Amino acid sequence: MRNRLVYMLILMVAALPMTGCWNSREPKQLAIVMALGIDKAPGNKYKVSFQIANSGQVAPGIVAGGSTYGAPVMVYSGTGSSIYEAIRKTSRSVPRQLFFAHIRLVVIGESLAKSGMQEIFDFFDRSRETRLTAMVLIARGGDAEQAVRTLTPLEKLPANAVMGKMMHSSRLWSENFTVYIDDVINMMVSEENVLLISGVKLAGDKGMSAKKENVEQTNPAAILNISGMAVMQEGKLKKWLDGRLARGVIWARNKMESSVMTIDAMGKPKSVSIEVSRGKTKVKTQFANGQLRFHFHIDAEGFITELQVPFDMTKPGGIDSMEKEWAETIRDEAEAAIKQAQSEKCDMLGLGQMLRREHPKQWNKRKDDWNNVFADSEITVTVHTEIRHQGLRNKSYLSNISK
Amino acid sequence: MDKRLKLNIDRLQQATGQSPDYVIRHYVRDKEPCLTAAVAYNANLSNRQAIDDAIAHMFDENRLFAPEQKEHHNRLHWLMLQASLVGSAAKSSNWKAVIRAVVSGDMIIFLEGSSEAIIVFAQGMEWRTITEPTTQVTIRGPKDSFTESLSTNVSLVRRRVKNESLWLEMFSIGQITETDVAMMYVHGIADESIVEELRRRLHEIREDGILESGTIEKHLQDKKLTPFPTLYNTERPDSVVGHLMDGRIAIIVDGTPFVLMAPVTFFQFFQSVEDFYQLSDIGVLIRLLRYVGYLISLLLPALYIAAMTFHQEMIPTPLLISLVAQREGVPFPVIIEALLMELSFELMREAGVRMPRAVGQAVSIVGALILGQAAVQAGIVSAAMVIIVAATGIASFTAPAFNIAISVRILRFVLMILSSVFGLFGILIGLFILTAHLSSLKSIGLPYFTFQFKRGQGKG
Repeated sequence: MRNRLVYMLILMVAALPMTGCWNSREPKQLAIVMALGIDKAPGNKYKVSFQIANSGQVAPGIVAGGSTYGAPVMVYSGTGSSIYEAIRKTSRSVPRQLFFAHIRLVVIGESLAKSGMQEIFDFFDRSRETRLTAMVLIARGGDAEQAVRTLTPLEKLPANAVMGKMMHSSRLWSENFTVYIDDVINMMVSEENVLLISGVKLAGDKGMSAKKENVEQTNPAAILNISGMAVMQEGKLKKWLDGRLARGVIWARNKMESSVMTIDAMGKPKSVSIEVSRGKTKVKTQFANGQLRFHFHIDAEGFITELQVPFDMTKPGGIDSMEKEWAETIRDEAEAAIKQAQSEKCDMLGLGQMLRREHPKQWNKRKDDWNNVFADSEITVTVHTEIRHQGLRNKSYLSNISK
Repeated sequence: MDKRLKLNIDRLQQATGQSPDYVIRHYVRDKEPCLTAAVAYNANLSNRQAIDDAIAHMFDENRLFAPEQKEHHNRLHWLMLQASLVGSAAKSSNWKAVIRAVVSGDMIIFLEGSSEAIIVFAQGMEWRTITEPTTQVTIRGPKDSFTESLSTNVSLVRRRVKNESLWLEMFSIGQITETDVAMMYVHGIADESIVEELRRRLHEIREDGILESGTIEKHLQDKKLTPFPTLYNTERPDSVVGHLMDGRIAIIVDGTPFVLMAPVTFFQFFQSVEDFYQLSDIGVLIRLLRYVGYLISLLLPALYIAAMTFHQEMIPTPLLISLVAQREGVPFPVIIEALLMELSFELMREAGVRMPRAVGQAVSIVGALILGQAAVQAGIVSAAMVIIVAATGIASFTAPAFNIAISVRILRFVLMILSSVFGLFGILIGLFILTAHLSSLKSIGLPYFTFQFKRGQGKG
């Protein structure tokens, strides 16, 4: 009997580490923080803004005698020398306990990004409440507080809305890719310390963004858009990448998921739209008399989604010529991005990481002067493309229109 | 037994307190006083027709005064012979046996000058006819169920097993009620040592009255303090036969349609006979579903409480926001809300069972409207909690054996309280103790919490 009790006790103690938080909190006392905005405040301080879900407004259905007034989110701000200080200080104005386990978004103000933001992620790394899978964005041309305050139509929770925009634009348009807190930390501890973080830009009437009327019209006065990628070197914002350059980087980093590219045909520029359905980039490294050479090979597959010229694809060689044209376009994009990176002496292509993984010895030789080594290395690009199909039509009706 | 008829009759009347339903009919011949006889029976328990037939046959003058019947001994012998022709009959000089016979509904014939009496079988009570089972319903399967009559029940089993190896032992249990109890098993399949153990335990029962097989079940249990049933009960003859084939022993108690089966394992309570009538893969899947249902009815409220008060980070964000929104105006903590709802559900269920059928509808209306909708609209409980309670209730109805579902009703509350104090850790502790307790249980000496009860287990 005594033995049994001892075994039972051992089992119970053994189960202790398997459990989560010990303290009990009534859900009513929680303010669920959806997004966090971090800005620079005067005096080397941080201004932290919390986007708190106003659950009664957000959740549909029966609310048990609850409040349904107000905006779907409330934003509180506080300043402090550290993130945590700011958080605790804000509790003076928030009626509930701030609860960080559900943060989906961390927005960093551009000015903070410019002056360096290496230090702020320690809080997220250390805290047992926050999760490292929150998305990181930079408020382009504005402060994070404003971005966090903006109400969004369709999706009641702005944090979810921005996340959705980010996910879809990276999946369907591929000028961005998603970066989470743990990615940021991993990139910062690597030697080349170059980080690409997508930007979010508040467009339109900025004064309207935090008002409820903003979402009560078909054309919101202020809208948050995903805009470009910020290149961060050594924790500081260096420049913004947009459009072709951004997509070139995506190609080079093998992050292409899907996109739409327009190429020239029959002398008419950008008259054929191709949906990229698969993109794969392989990088080969070569060493020739101390000189570092990288060779990018891009494999792309896609199909034609729109044709604005009467191009006959049944003609022998028709598709081939189009594939060639497309390959050329991709190469131009990638090369432009590579050239840009080299001239900036900023390894935004992630080549340093790759070298470290594949040739650690070579990397060790070069890591101290990596930015220069990268800039001087020889980089070539080849592209192979394949057009899998052309939709439901071989010939466009355009070819039947008599002129 | 006395030789004098009058003394015997007086003794019988005294023993029964002169209850008027003990009928005594005298057969008197003035010329030959030695032929005086008396017949005693209970008017409520005996079959009147059978008694009249027997009397008419036995006391037929022509035969009774046949010249060769002079000696008393011979006359008794001869009466006995006649009685055997009408039905089963026995001679007895044991007063206790005679009394026992007359209170069971048999007829007694006393003869002047004889210290022996003839007991003629004449039991003829009214029983409920065989009807469809009401507690263990199946879609496919035989539609008969046991009744309150022991002999009917035994016949229902015997009819399905035409084999001489189906053995039956009779016991008379209960110091006052002297209830007939039958133990049935298939000789050669059932483990002899378990049969012996059961026999011993049945003999040891000291109880004034046996009202139902439940009274016996209490005495046959290995461990008394447990919410789990360690004997299976069923009102389906096909289920009993199935268990007999697996080497289990049936205990049939007079006066109840619920037959006990032993020994059983925990997992057999999740079997329905119908599982064996369906295709096996379907049966297996449906049984799995019942296990899931059992776990849901045991754990769901506790898990909800733990997740809501301790582990909010485990709930997906949109769900958490929705749950928090529902609880916005609820004045109670989650555990109070849960206890409130579970308690009212238990009350409702109890009311539904005990209510006369005519009032039953009122219960469901009040339950559905007041507890469901109005409580939510008034902001006393959240809609999610109503869903949790409803899901728990539905899941608990999936258990095919009612008594295993009851065990969960108690344990659920224990786990809810544990989880409100310790969160998931509390649930874990509860499950530890529960598993340990289950593993310590035995059913007639055999392990209870095991999958391994096979046909003829323990024989070799």
